[in-house]
Amino acid sequence: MEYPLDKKKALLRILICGSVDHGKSSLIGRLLYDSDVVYEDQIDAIKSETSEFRNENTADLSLLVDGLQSEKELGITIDVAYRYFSTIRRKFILIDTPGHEQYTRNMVTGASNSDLAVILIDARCGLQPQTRRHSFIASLLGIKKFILAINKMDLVGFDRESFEKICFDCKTFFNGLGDIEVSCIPVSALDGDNVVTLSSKTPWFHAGTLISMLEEAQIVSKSNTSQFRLPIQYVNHISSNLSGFCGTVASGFVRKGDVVRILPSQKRGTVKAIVTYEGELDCATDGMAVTLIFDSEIEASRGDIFVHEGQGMMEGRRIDCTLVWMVNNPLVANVTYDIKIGTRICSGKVSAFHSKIELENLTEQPTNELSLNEIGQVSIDLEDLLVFDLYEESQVLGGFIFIDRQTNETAAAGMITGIGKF
Amino acid sequence: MHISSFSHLSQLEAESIHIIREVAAEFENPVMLYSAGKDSSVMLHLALKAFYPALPPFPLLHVDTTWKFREMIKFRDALGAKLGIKMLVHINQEGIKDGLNPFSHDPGHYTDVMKTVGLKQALNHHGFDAAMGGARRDEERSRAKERIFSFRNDEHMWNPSDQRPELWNIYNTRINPTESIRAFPLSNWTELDVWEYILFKRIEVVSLYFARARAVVDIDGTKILVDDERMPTELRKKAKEEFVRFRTLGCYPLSGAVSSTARSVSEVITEIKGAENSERQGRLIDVDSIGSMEQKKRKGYF
Repeated sequence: MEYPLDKKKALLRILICGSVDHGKSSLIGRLLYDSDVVYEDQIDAIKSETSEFRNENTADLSLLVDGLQSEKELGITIDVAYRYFSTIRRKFILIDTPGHEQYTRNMVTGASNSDLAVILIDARCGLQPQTRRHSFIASLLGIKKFILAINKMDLVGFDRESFEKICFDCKTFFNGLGDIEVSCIPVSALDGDNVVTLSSKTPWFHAGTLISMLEEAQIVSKSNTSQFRLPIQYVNHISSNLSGFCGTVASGFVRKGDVVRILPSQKRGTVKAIVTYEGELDCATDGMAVTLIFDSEIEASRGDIFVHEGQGMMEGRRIDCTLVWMVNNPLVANVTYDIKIGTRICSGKVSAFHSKIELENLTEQPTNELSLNEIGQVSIDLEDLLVFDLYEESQVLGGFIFIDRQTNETAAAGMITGIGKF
Repeated sequence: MHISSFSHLSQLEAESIHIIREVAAEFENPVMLYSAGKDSSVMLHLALKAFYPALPPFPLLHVDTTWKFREMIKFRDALGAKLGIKMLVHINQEGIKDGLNPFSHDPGHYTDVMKTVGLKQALNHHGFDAAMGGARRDEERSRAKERIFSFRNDEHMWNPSDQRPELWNIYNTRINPTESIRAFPLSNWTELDVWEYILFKRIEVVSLYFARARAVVDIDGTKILVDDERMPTELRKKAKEEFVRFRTLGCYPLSGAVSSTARSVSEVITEIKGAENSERQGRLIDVDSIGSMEQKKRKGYF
């Protein structure tokens, strides 16, 4: 059994955001082009499109990125797009979200799946309200590492002072967002300075290139707790008297022979085997998709959670959380939604609005509803007892979605911040 | 906070297994599409892993256009028998009745009838509420924006401007009775990841992916294999032996071969790393118009 696979190359998911005209598409195009994942026929396809849509005859690297036909005509990206490239050291997934402010929902979606954020800043404009909004949203979703790419350095003559002024402003702003690691880098996406190749125009900058920063960034787990959690995803009826409990380990690890508790029933079981296609494991850790078999029959089903004996989780019928509203119909109190958290579905309704965040200036305001793309702090009353972790401890068991019972739409993203008080 | 020590392939593998299990857990009548290509082979391997020691709790479905490479059909039938998994095969009989033929009909129309309409017929006939496919986001730009769980309306149509946001690894699988979900467990894999995984896991794939001398005809710059006698005689006469392999496989008259000397998985990997052209270039059905994949997907194609 070789788990992890013998090829030790980690995967880094990068959220990339910035204003439409700060050169984001060019930066992505540059990363793809200079790291050689753009093939000749794709360049040819872009050349033919460039002339059709924009009446120019040179390949526009940003068109590599602007995917769908309806959007190509507008010259902007309007959804979440995924790009792939790799170097000898790492595989990267670039998650591209639009710079336009009305698309908070896309940014939240992209950030929920990212390890690190690259924020583009136009060297001529410095720290803009939009930069603050993007950084705030990314940090809200739990991203702890930011790279600020100060772009269009060619237009300020690669001036060190301009760069350092922006860095200072940014670091001051990020200090207010909590425990976050911030690096700044001067680049020109158009010409490729400091993106993949070191620029000769910034001899005063010694922290390498954007790609080397991405290669060296530490990848941290989605969970902050080392306690074992495994939400049961699927019960595998292997034979008439043998069941396997399948799921992805959300945090911590489990070993063969461990006594585990099933939440919420509090029943107990001893792990007889950790089964995989390639043989049994002695131990399964955070992120692995495994099957547990117990030494005696246990009663557990999808949505239940295995934890170690003696390590409980939070539970309650009222939770406090940050909610991002994602559909046109505003959220009001006392309307019931289905809530999917981990592998469990339950129902609940907002019982109190505490505040909403004014993204313009990042202040909190009182409210009694949330509209599309608004972010608020609310209490939710659940129809049944819910077992959960705080989002800051575990994204898997502290993050959830609202599903509209009428339209089946994904109406909200939520992050649990505490147990609610009655 | 601790450092993740997973390699990229084990991470991709675990995520794909999670997706496949989620489909099995949340849908009443799911199916896994199977084409006998390399992506299907990897997806099927992941499905075997996800439910081991039991077999996957869903059948496989092959939408057969009757113009697939002969070796793919042999491979498919042998594999189904070996694994003991139910392998459904669907052919659009209306297209057969109309005598649709990729050599003499417009490839776009042919593909629409035999693949897209054929797929929809099969999904409707069996009442499948979810279909897993081996599509990857790195294949083509419109795929790069599609969700892992992609909602299709009662006509199997995709609406790129109205997709459900997909947060963390929580998938909204809720649909009404006539609607369906297409799920893509390999969304985040690249062509290279697929080949590296095939190498490490020793997954069997059809030999068409490996170079040897084959009789091919140059049709407008695309090398088409002489796979059977249905290729028109005037074309067959022009056949030349060349050392070629296929990067992507579909219907033989629409799948271009590439010059290559890569005879093994590791040689294929070396070749891909140095390649100048993308994988889908050999696919004639994609190049007919700008945004053609997007148009096909809107109509219900994978």
